[in-house]
Amino acid sequence: MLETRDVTKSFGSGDRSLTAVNGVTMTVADGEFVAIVGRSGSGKTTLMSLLGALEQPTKGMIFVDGEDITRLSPGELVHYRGRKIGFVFQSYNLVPNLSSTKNVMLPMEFIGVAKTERRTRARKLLDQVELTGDKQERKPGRLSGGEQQRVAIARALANKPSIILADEPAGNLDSQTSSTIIELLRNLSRSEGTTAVVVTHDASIADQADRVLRLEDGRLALST
Amino acid sequence: MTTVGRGIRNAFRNATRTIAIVLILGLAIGLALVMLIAHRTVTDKVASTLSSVGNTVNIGPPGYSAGGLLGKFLTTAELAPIAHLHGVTSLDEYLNGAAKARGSTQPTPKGAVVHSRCAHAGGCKGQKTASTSLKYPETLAFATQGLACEPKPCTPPISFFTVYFSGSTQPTAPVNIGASTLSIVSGHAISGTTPADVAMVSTAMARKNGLKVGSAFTAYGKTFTVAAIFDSDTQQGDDTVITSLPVLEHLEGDTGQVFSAVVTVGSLTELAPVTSEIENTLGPLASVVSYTSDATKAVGSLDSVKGIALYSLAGAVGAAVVILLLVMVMIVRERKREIGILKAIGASNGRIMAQFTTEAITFTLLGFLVGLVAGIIAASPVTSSLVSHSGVSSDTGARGLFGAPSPFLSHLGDINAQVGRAVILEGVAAALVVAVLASAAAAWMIGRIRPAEVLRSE
Repeated sequence: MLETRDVTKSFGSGDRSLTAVNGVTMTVADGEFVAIVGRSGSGKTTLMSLLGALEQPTKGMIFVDGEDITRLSPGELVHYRGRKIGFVFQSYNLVPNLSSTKNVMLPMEFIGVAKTERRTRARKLLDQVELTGDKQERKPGRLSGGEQQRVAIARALANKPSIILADEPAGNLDSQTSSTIIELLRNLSRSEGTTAVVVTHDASIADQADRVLRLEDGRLALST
Repeated sequence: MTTVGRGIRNAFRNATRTIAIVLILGLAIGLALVMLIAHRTVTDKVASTLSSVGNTVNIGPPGYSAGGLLGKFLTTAELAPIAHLHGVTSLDEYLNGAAKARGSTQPTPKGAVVHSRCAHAGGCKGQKTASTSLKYPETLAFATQGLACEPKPCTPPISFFTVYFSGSTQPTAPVNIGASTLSIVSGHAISGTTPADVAMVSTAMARKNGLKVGSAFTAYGKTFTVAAIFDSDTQQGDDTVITSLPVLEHLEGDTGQVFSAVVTVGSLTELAPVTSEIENTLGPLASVVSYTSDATKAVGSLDSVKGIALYSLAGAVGAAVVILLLVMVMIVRERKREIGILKAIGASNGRIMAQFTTEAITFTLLGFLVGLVAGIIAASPVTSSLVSHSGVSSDTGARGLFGAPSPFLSHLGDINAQVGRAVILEGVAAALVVAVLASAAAAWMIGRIRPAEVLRSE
C-alpha cells in the first residue's frame, strides 16, 4: 500500500520559495490503477518524484508497504528504487546502445539477479508486452515509439515492483498506440499485483483508471 | 552485461569520437612513454658509468695524468703504506711492457713512439730490445693506428708491430689493459704475485697465434705458458699479454718499480678523504687521479637530459589527464539524462561511477597501445637527439692512465633506448592512474546528478 501524509515539497527559500506539492495526503491500495491529472505546473511530476524517492519531501511522510521512505538513508533509497519502484517515462528513456532485452535486464542487474535468470525474465516480460522475435535484440533506435514504450514497461516490471510510476506514458504516442499501451500497463499491473500511478493529461487514459486524483497548485483537489 | 562490460561498450558508442580521443591520448601517452624511456635510459647510463668507474683512485708517477712522465717510477715500497690507509680495500700495482711482434720487418726507428702507453720518459724498455714469438693480433690498419714518429716529417714505421705486456698484482682488473671489461673465457686467472712465467692472452691474440690454454710462446727470451684466455672490450686490451707484476718487473729489469697503481676504496663517500690521504702520503712522488670526479663531470650533461625528460614526462602525463578529464566531463554532460535514468531504476552512484571509470580506462588503454607504438618508434631517436644536443662528451679534459681519457667514459654518448617490460608495466600503471584521475571530475558530476531532474525535463 502507498500512503502519503501531509506531504509538502518546496523549492528555494524565503520569499523565493515555491511550493510544488502542498500537504498532499492520499492512500493507494495494492494493485490499484490511479491516474493523477492536473494542469501543467500543478505539481504532478514533483509528486511522482517524491513517491519514487527521487526527491525528499520538505515535510510529511510517505509510507510504502508500511515503511516511511522519507527516513531512509541514500543507500537504502537506491535499494528502495531498485526493488519497489518501476518507472515509465514519457520519452521512454531506454539506454540507446543496449538491446531491448538488455534494457529490461538492467534493473535486475542492479539488485544482483543472476545473468541467466535476468535474460529469461527479460524475454518473458518482452513477450508479455508483445515485443517478440528479433525485436527483442534490437536497439531502441530501431523500434517505433510504441515498441520502445513496451520495452520501458517491461523494464519497469523487471524487479516485480510494488508500485509503477508512469509519467505521461502515452504522451508521445498516437491515440491508438496510446490506448494499447495504457491497456497493457493496466493489465500487467493487475496480473503482477502491482500498484500503478499514472500522470496524464489525457482524459481517455484517466477514464481507464480505478481512481483519478486531481492536483491543483500542489494541492489534492479531487479524488474520484 | 556487467558494469564493466557496459563501460567498455560505451567507449565505442561513437566510433568517430572514440578514434579521435584514442589518437589524441595516444600522442600524449606516446610522448610520456618516450620521455619515460629517455629518463630511464639516461638514468641507467649515469648509474652504470659511475658504477663502472667505481670507487677507485689511480696513482702514477708525476705527470702521468697529463700523458707524460715528469719524475721517477714509483716503487712497491713507496706504495706499501697506501694499502694500510683507512678505507682502502685493495691496491693494484701495475707495470707495462712491450716487445716486437713476430713479422716485424724493421727495427724500431730511433725515437719512434709506438703507443701513448709507452710514451713516458722511460718508455717500455722492452719495445726497443725485446721480441716475442707472438704475431700482432690485428690487421695492419689496426697496427698503424697511433703510430707516430719523430722528428717530423718522417714515415711512420708501419712494419713495426708491438705486443704489449701488462704486469699487475690484480691481473683481471680491466683498467690495466685499457679496457672497461675483462672476462676469462677459458683457463684460470693467474695470480698477481706469482713468479711463474704464465700469462693470459686475449681471444684475438690466441686466434691469431693458434694458442689455447696450456700452449707456449716466447717473449723477452723466456717461454710462457698460456694460463687463461680473456675477452676485453677494447683493441688495446686485445693486443696485451697479462703477466704477474713480479714477472714483468723482472723482464723489464724494473724490479721493485711500478708504473701505476689503482686503489679501491670501500665506498664513494670515502673516496675524497682517501684520495687526499694518498696525496699526503706520496707527496710530489706521484700524481693521483680519481676517475669519479671526471665521470661526475661527464655525466653532468646527462643529468640535464634527465631533467628535460622528467619535466616532459610530467607535462605529457598532465596533458593526458587534462584531455581525458575534459572528454569524460563532456561525456557525462552528454549522458546526464541517461545517468538520471540509471539512478531512477536502481543504480547506485558507485556503480555508475565504476561504469564511467571503466570507459575512461578503456580510452586510456587504447591510447596506451597507440602511444606504445609511437614510443617504440620514437624512443631511440628522441633519446639520442636529446643526448647529442646536451653536449655529452666522454673526454672531460682530465687524463688517467697514459694520459688517455677514462676508458669508463669512452662510450658515454652511446645510448641505446629500448622499450623494456618494466617500461610497459610502468606505462600501463600510469595509464590507469591517468584514467582514474580523469574520472574524478566525472565521478563528482555523476554524484551531483539528481534523477528527479530527468523526470522534470520530460
